[in-house]
Amino acid sequence: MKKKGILSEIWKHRNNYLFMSPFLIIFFVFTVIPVVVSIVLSFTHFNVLEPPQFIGLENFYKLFLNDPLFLQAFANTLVLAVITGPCGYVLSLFLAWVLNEFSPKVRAILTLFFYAPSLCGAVSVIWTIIFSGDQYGLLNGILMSMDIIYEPIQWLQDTNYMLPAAIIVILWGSFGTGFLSFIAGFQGVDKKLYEAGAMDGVSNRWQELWYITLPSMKPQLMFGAIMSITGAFGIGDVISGIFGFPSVGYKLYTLVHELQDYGNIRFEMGYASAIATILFFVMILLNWVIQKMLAKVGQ
Amino acid sequence: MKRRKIYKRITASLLAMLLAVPMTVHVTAADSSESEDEKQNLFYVENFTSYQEYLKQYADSQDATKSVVVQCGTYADDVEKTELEDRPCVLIPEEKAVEYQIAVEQSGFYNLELLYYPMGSTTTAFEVDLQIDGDHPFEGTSSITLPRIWGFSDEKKQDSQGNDIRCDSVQQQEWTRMVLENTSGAGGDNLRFYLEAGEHTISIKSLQGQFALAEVSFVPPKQVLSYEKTLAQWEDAGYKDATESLELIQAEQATKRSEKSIAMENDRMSAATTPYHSYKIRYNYIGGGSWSNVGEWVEWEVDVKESGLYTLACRFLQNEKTSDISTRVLTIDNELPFAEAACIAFPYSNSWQTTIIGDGEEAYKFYLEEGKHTIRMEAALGETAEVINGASSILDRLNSIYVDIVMVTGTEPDVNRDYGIAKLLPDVLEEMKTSSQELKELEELQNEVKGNEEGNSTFERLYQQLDKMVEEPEDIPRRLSNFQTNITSLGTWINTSRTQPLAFDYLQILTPEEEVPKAEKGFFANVKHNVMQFLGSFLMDYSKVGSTETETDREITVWIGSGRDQADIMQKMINTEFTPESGIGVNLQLVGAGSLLPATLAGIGPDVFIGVAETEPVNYALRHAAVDLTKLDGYDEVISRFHSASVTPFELDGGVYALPETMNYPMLFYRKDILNELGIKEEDLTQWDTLLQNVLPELMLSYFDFGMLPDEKNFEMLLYQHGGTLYNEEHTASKLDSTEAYSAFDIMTRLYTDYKIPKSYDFVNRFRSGQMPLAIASYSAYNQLSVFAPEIEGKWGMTTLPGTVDEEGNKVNTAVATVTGSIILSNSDSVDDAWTFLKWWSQGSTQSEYASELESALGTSARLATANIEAFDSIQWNSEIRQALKEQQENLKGIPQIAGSYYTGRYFSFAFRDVVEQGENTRESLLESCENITTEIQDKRKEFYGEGE
Repeated sequence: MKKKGILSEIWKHRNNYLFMSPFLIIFFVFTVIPVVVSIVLSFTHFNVLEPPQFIGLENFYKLFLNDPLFLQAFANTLVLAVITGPCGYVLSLFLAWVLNEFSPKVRAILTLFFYAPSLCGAVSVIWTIIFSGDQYGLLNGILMSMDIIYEPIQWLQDTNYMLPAAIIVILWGSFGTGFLSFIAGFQGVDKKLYEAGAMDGVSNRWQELWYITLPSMKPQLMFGAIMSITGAFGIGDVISGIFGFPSVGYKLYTLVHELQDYGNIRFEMGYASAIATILFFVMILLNWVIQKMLAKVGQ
Repeated sequence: MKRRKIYKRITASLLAMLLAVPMTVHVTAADSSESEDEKQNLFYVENFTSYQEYLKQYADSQDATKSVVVQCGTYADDVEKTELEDRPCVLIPEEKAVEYQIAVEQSGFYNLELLYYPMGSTTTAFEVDLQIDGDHPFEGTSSITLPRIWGFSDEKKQDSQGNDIRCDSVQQQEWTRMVLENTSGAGGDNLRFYLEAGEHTISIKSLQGQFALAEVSFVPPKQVLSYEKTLAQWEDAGYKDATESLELIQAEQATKRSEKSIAMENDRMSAATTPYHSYKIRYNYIGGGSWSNVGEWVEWEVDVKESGLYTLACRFLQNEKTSDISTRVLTIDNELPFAEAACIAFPYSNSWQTTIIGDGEEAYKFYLEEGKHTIRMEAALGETAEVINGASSILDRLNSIYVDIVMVTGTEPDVNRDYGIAKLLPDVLEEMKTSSQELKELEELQNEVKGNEEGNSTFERLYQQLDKMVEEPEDIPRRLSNFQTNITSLGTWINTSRTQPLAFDYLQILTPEEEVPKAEKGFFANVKHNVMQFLGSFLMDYSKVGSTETETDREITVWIGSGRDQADIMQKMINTEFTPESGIGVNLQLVGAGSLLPATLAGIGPDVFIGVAETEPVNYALRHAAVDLTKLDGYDEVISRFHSASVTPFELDGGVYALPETMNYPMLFYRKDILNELGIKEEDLTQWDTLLQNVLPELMLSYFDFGMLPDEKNFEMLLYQHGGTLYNEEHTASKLDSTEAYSAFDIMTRLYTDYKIPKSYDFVNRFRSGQMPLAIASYSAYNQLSVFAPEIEGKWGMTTLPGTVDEEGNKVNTAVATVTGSIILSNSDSVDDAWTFLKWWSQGSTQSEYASELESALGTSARLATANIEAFDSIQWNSEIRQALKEQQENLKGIPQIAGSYYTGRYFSFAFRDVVEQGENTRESLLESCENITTEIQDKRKEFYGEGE
């Protein structure tokens, strides 16, 4: 009876479903099914080229109890995510706010300027020239000509400098879709609210931002936050592109690297799936936390 | 902290002392002078008399009038003799000199003529070393090129779509007479050897290739008259203008040519190029970029019906040398008809041109007897020869000036410091002055020859800079890097000026009355041509070009991981050779190596993948995804085509899972000029001990670098040289805990800590600028350097790696090979066809054809590093380099790949960085790495072999 109810409900709104279907189909095929498959595979031993064998929770035991690299990767990911996620987020927001003050033409140009790095993905490789360990690498060359350093520094291999270098590169590329949505959000705020606010005693731009602007663009804030946290946990390719894979001493070895390491190099897809599963649930958890936190904006 | 400061101060003062030392050393080194025996150990940069100087020495001598001929086949000595085509002769083997005593009656100049018979099937020309009385008479005689003679096969083939298939080249094995020529002259200029009356010894050695020699003759130089005088003679003899012109000669139907690479080509740019088709491939012209080196020639045969005077017309394309001319020497029946024929100029234009050969105003007439004749066009330097030769001797001098300055300042001088170059190097300033003067003279000469006032901007920039440097020597450090750039552009100018690219569509022998034929068709014909070409693009399937059979029921899919050009050439070879022969169709696809795994997983992978990295085959094999080739038939024969080192990475538990495709290995590159200047002995480069003790300190004193990248391969090289191995024999554990591994790792890390050699650099640039005169780099850098660094040509070399001496006193200088391979995937349902394909692809003849096609398409810098030994030998190395490469091949090892071996590279690099960047203990870091690697290997063995449970 109830089942029939759902079906007839669907039939009633069939036009809506028809319009949703292109997205839904793609979403299912390329997102939902892979996630489910990956969760299933995480209970197997699967070497990619031969059929998987079911081994229960063994992958997860190994992951938490017998794989120091996983813990290190987890720690690295957390460090990178905690620094670059919120920093990138706040930076995007702040920059969008500043850009909002410019005239539309200048704003468009500046937006492109900041958005470009994330637009053309692999372009971060230019940092390999800046951070090149050669004495003629850009940064080394400049520092040496100013007599600040005497020997070229191996920015990308010296464990003392790798983390800061990585953070700079990641922040540089963090003005992504979140940033764009902030810009749109700022423009969508109703001007009347500011006038009303001024009447009600808002005395400076900070108050205006906190009590008026931000609350009226909560959807964009939410979107940006989710993008930035997923981005921060998915850091991997940018690092391998610049610091090599794996980075020296596993100093910048993230969960994504661990995943690639097991998936592509060791051909242990079951284990890699277990890592992906964990990454998946960590992200879900964090999204929940973020939603809770954003609810507090403007209060 | 405080301690560090003190340490820094001490180093600073030490450095200051060091800085002061080289100055004094260098000033004294110049005059305290190298004694003779000391010099012998230095790099042997041969000091030849130039040909010009040689001629000057005998300026007053006369030409001889009588020939001196040695009949090699009947000459009484103990060299083995034989007979070829009824002619007694001797076989000249590689690297063994044959000597002849000759009695010369008459002192004077002679030309040297050889009658030889090319043998063997490779494409490389012969290289001969000629000595007279135990000495090279002048520059160039240590390496004389005797071409092999090539023709096209008569068979005309077309593919299934009606496109022409390029005719095969066939080597003409026949007795060939050749007078040695001066390739640095303007053209048509035979080398002149001066012989005193009396006994002389001639020694001939082949550096490359085996050929038969029947005659060595010293003949009196021929006197060639000017056109005016020749014509007068002909008219006096009563020769009349011919009345009927001869049939058009299609230039691509050449009967003979000196290089296989001079190819017939397809032109669809013009509607007038014959044979013509608007959109199908017709091979309709010859030459172009492939016919540009001085000395290369093409010959055609004509059948003359009526004796008389004719003119010669041709349609040509010279669109490569912008606002310059390309020169050819015209000979008829191997002789210059008159002096002017030695220098025929073909001007630049970006479209096809027609001309009747003449002096610009009047067409030249040629007398041709009735009967068959040959017409030959040979590339020559032309009128600018003198300018080019002058410039190359200045280039030489400028290079040594640069090195002299760098000895004092380093390549990155402190611009704020006055190095006192004027005081330290007064001779150098003097040389700069003369060089600048000579460059100005050369520019004038060039204007004179070309008859214009264009000047030469390359020369101008250099002499202006030289003048400024002479005026203000204290500014030299500021100008140094720009000076080097200008030297490079002079080198590039010389190289481009030397090339003489030219293409011919047809030649035609006309009667003197006839006009120049039209170069292009009329307007409407061109419109039609373009429209047809556009429409034709819908009709042609260009990916099927060359395939002769349209349908085969057997097809395999081959993926290739290299570039577009490689795939195109390969496709053409498959279509014309493999598919017709075997009946197996090949679907060749260009795919990135990263796609192989997902595709295999999805079950849509190829049958064969060509060009996988050396780490991959074993990974696939462990998971039963690659076919064990040892089980396939004919394996033993196939694998013997390769060096064993290139197979090592593909071996696993007795099976072999890939065939080697390319193989690279490092060699030691050195700058002769700089090492000579520093007084470094060649023998010191052969061992690490002496290299570290004698050579590196010397280099560092003068601010030079030694180059060796801190990568896994270089560590493995040191490891093998110390007698170590990466894994134990059963491949169950890492052996980095052995003492051998420790010594190798110790040297490796010390190079970067104690000697502070750079950890990352761009080899080619630092090598050409002289900053890094000594480096270990892959041998393919040789190709890059020989193309992109013309300014240091002849000033550098490539030799075998430094090594160690083992307990028995043998020198061990193992190099580690980097290979790529071709695998057959085990889910292929046509393994046998795939194997047939790989057998064909990996055989010597296929690989050498591929190599030469690739090189003629992309140039020397794209030279194929083929793993096939036979194909490797067919590549045109110069003999010295070939010898070094071969020698290194005797000491070559591959890296075994095992389950978990990816951890070795990773943990080597961690240990290395720990020691070098963090200053941690060498032994501890290495041991820790070793432990980690072993753990991983054992984990993986558990997975694959079920061990240890």
